[in-house]
Amino acid sequence: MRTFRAREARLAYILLIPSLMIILGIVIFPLLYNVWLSFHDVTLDNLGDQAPFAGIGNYAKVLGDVQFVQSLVVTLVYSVSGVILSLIIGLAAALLLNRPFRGRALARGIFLFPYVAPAVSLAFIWKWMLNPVYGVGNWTLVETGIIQHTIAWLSVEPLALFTVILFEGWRYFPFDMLFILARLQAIPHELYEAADVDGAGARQKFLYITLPELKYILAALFLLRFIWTVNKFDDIFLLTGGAAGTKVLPLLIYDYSFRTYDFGMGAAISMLLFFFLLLSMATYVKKVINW
Amino acid sequence: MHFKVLSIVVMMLLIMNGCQKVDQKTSIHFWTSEVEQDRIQVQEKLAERFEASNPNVDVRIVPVDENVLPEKVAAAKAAGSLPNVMEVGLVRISTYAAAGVFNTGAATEVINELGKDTFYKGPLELCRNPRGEGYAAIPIDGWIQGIWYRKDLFREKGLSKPITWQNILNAAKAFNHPEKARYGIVIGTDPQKLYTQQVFEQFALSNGIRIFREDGRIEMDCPRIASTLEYYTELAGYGPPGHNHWREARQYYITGKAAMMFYSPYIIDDIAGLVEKYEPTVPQLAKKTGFVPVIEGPQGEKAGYGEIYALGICNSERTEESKAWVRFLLNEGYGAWISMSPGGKTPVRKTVLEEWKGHHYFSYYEPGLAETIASGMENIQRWGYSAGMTFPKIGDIHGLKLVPMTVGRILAKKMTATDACLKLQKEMEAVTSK
Repeated sequence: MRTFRAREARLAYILLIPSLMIILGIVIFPLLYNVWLSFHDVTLDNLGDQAPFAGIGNYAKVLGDVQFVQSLVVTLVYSVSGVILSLIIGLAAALLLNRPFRGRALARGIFLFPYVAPAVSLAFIWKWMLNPVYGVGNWTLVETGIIQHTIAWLSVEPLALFTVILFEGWRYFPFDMLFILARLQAIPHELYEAADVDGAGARQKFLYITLPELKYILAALFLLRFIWTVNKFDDIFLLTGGAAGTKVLPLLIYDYSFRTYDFGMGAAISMLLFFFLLLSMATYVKKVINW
Repeated sequence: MHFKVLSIVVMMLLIMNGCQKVDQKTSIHFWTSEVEQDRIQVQEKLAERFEASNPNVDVRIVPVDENVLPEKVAAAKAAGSLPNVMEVGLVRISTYAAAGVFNTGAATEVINELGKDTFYKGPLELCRNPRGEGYAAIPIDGWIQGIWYRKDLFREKGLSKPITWQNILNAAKAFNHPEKARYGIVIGTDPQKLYTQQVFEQFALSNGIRIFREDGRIEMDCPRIASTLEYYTELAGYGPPGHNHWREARQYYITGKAAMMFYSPYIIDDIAGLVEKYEPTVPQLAKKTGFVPVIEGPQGEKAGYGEIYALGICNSERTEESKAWVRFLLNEGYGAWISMSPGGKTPVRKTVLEEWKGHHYFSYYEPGLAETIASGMENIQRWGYSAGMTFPKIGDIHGLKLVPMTVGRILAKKMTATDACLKLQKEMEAVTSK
């Protein structure tokens, strides 16, 4: 009996090995390597070779860099507004799709589109639509008289940030919508019936039943999406390349690592980004949602 | 029995020998930034031709898009799997040479073997080794920016060629009729586009502005920068309203709405009406078009601006094979290489001028255009590459787009020329001191 259990256990470990190897290779090793990088002066010169120890030099340089502070602010604005916007759109869409109507399944499918489509094609379609010279979006706005002249949505300073936030909100609302929808369907119908008996209006039902019931799912979604958005690279990279005041921290890391080949600095910024995320998550969980 | 064993052994030896022969073929990896399908085919053919005369070398053409090259090089360097030869743009040449990716000795040897005199002076100057003697890489082609202008209109008004600052300004003023949607000149005014820096830098160079001192420190000559910025702003006033970059430049020119504009020779097929999408509305536009590659500043300094592409030989054990491949591309294969894009690839070696000139694109123009374009190569200059020295940090200044943004701010009148210069100095110092 004992040998049988031991053999079972051994088999379990053997079966675990492949996934452990993968985690070691693509999670643990890069993480440790990044920590190592951030304390060394690594350039293209000595990459993959011995690099001089830099102490906290990289961190000191990053913290003294104006660009870092600017990027941090941009990252915060981008992440918070982008996530909130997608939550609002997601909530509205979920409420819309909650009640049965003809073609609801089809509508749900269509609503999922922005989340399912590949980022590259979406970014290029947006760029094309918003192009100031031949973009169909600009053309429509000018033709309908909403704006006088075409606008360079993605290359003028505060506007570009607004545009990428809009993109963020639009692209990720289906994700929020799915979670909210699932929770909505689980709200007991009796609550609404009781409210009807008490003579509550639609607004009151939303404010005093739906919203409190959704509180935790909204809070969790915000947290999850905030983490993802802070680390988001591809969307902005594809839309503006970080120009016109949209240089978020992941793009700054890319700039340092691959444009100026200062891998130590890049790694130091990503470490700081990591601690910043930890700190904001802890504050959020403790102070904001009181878990 | 013995005979059988012996014959088997002999046969096995023969087979192994045969295998070894296959193994003896050394393969060379060539990272090219000419990634379009038709260009890959041209390069595959070149490789076949090369292999025919070098039977023990196997050239592998690996397309690597210019935009992802930095990441690829970093990853390959870390993994110890750099290619043997790679094609790079100017800003990376000195960076990679300084980081020890390129074998500068091999590059210098190839240039000497081909003959220094067979190259135009400008490209060689730009490819100098940032650390010491010789060259960092071997220039292979490039483009030279300049003013494309309407010869016919200039003749009508009796204006002289737009070479000096004064002549350019006079002509821009004379042809500017915004009420008729006709403009004097299109220059870069879009703060987000590198085109703005490219045009501005050519004027700045012709005003004697070099942003690096010989010891590699940043030194902005603020009075000159300010005067260039003022001239530039005045010139922009004789151009179309709004943000302009190369797209607008082409559009205004081929529709006959601008008398002058800055562009590289990439445009020759457009002006000649060979590209359906951009067919000129001006009849016979090519015959009416002239090109000025070199601008003369107020102190008489001449400057051309352009881009150079070079072949870097990476440090590897296959230096001889790599050198042979590079020599082949610049000699026997050079005509085919240049013809991948006759407009976009201005030759850096004089030896191929006759062949290049014979391309049918040039037959649409008055004779002499090819020579004029090529002559610009003699005077091609760039910030960060002067007095026989190159400063790798210029790559960082480009990467962070410091100059276009400042020029944009000036044109938007958000800053005075002197403040802009001081700000630029500070930003560049911050970048270069790292």
